[in-house]
Amino acid sequence: MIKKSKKSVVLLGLSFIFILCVSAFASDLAEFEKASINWRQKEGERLLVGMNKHGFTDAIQQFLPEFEQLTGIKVTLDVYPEEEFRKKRLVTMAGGGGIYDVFMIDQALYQYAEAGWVEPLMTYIENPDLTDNNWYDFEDIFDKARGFGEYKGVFYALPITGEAEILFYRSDLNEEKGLAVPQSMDELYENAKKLKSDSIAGIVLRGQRGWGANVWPWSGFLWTYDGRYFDADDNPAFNSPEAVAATEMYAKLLIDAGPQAPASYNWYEVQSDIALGKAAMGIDTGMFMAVYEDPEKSEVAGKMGYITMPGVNGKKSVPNFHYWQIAMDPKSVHKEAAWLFIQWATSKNILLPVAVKNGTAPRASIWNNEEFLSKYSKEWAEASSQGLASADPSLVPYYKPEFSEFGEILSIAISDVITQTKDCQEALNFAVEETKKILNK
Amino acid sequence: MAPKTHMKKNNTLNLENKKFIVTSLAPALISLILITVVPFVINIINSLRNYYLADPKGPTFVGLENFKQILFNDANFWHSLWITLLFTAGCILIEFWLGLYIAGLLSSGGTFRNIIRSLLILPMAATPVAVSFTWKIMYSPSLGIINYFLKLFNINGAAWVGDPKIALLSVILVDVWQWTPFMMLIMLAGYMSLPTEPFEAATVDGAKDWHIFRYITLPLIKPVALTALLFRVIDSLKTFDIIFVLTRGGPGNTTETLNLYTYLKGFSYLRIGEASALAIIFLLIVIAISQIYLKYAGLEFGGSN
Repeated sequence: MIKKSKKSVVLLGLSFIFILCVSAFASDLAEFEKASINWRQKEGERLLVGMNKHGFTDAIQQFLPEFEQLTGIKVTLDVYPEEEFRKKRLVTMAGGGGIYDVFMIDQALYQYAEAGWVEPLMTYIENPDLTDNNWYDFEDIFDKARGFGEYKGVFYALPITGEAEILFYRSDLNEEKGLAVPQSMDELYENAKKLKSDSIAGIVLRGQRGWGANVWPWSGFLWTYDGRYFDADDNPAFNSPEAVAATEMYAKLLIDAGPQAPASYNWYEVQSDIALGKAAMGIDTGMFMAVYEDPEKSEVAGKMGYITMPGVNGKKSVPNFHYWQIAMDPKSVHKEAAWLFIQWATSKNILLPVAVKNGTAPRASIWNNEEFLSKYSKEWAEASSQGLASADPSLVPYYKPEFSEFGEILSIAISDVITQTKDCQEALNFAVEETKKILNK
Repeated sequence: MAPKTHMKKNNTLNLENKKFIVTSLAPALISLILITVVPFVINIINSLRNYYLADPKGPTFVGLENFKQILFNDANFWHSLWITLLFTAGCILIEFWLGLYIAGLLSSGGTFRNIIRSLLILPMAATPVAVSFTWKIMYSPSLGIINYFLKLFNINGAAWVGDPKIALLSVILVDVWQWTPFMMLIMLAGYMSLPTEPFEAATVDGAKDWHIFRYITLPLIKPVALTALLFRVIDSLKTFDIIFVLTRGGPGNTTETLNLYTYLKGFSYLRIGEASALAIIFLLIVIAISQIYLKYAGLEFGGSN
């Protein structure tokens, strides 16, 4: 008898724990079950998802058990550091694909789309058996972000992050020197010069070559000065007077008020110099805020101000932006299951907690969410969301599969102007000539 | 010449052993063929095709078009070849003389020789990528330790990898730090195997230290030194990791070597055809340099009889 009752107590305890678990999951799953689709229609299938190391990847990992609970689909993440992942992804797809069902992708999307390595997604979004758009709310995703996932009118990839180029500055140093927050590029230059001293750079920007290095923040300067990559006839135009003015300002800031070796600065150096109090201002992705405001990683937490990057001639600036996205392999044999995963991972209910953790979001509703806004400073959220709203994907020639090639040549020209080894006009002329050669191949 | 009966016996033994030898060697041979010969053949085929990964139409055969493009229509090829040669010459010159000098010091004995030798070998054992990242941090003008120490002595440090005038030199310095021990080690072995008689004779004849070095040490150590040099020349020509991590070819393209250019062509620009052609041209250059070197150095490998 005693034995039996002991057993039943254990059983009772176990079942209690079990019920607790189930109800814990249930409360989380309830939000997803509001969608009028059958989440379990592909139960038992397995997905392999290729991702690079990223705040999003870390965050999504925690939610995977919930997805398996919801759909009965088993998901394995294959995670590599960013550069290695790009190579792995390229080799996988060039080798015929069919390995990853879903993968993370950046600007390479357009090369991939041209080569037929990504699956068009619109049929999945419009299929009521697979997507409940009342719940999913495709239109809530910034339309610029949706544009970023499009190539030649076909929609291929959904965004998981959203970041815009903004200006960050040390408000304590501004106060000390009696400086106002710069509203124009000329004011920015004057402030940067005044803030520069032996111990601190006035401003830091990426100077290192690479289409993913200096070209990214430089593009925001180009558009702000009304320059374009390509003119109306689709000829390369980044040697126009506007482009020269933009490049000269970019270089002038670094030469007169920048750190000692700006041509060796990639985003990492920009981030760490400001975080360690070695630079007074910087223009780069708004995502760095999460590092600056973390007292464990930064010596300037609470001392930073954030604002939209300054414009010229009384006009607003046109900052650059970036979206990480996820896309589907057309050779996948689990396309519906892959779509369920993509839908789940890009839904409000997943992107909101990710955004609260990482400070980056591609959905308009999140930028109005109380929980999100209460964690981050208001002026930062304004600067970032304004940037994301005004960014224009059609300005970025990522849609040209040759971008990585002429982008590299352009980046060398920018680097040469920063190190004063070449005259600005001459350097950009050369880059344009080389670009024409590449495009005519 | 062995008697005929003996030969016959050997032959039957060989036949019996042949199966065993073949089966034992097969796994190694097959994997070797799979990882070297097959990719090489594919590389040759690709170099003759207009293979652009982003082109959905797929590759077409274009003959020697890629080679023509590179040799006659690509200024960056000649530029990066020049940088490759500069880099190699810089590394080799410094590493050779420094290695020879340190080996000379160590060969004269001393209580700490073994400890110092072991310590000097450490850089060689480290992964080049890890080494490069460490140097990158040390070179950083704002956070790096080098400029910090220079500042203590009131010297304004350089921009190191950020200054187009000295970036290549900064990169060479890292290679020197890592690979001088290799030169030193091989030449130390050379020193240790030298006979003592010529030196004694020279000392008796009253030769000066410099003359002993110039007319006895150097000629005697030459075969060993030249072998070490050959290894380092080939290795330096191929250097990739240090440059990729430290400068990515910048500032501008002042440190862009042929190897880095090939990498960008293939993995960033997706032009597999041109990248394959570049790789083959590069291979031919390395073979040419080492053949010329072997001829003039008077080195012979593979049997002196």
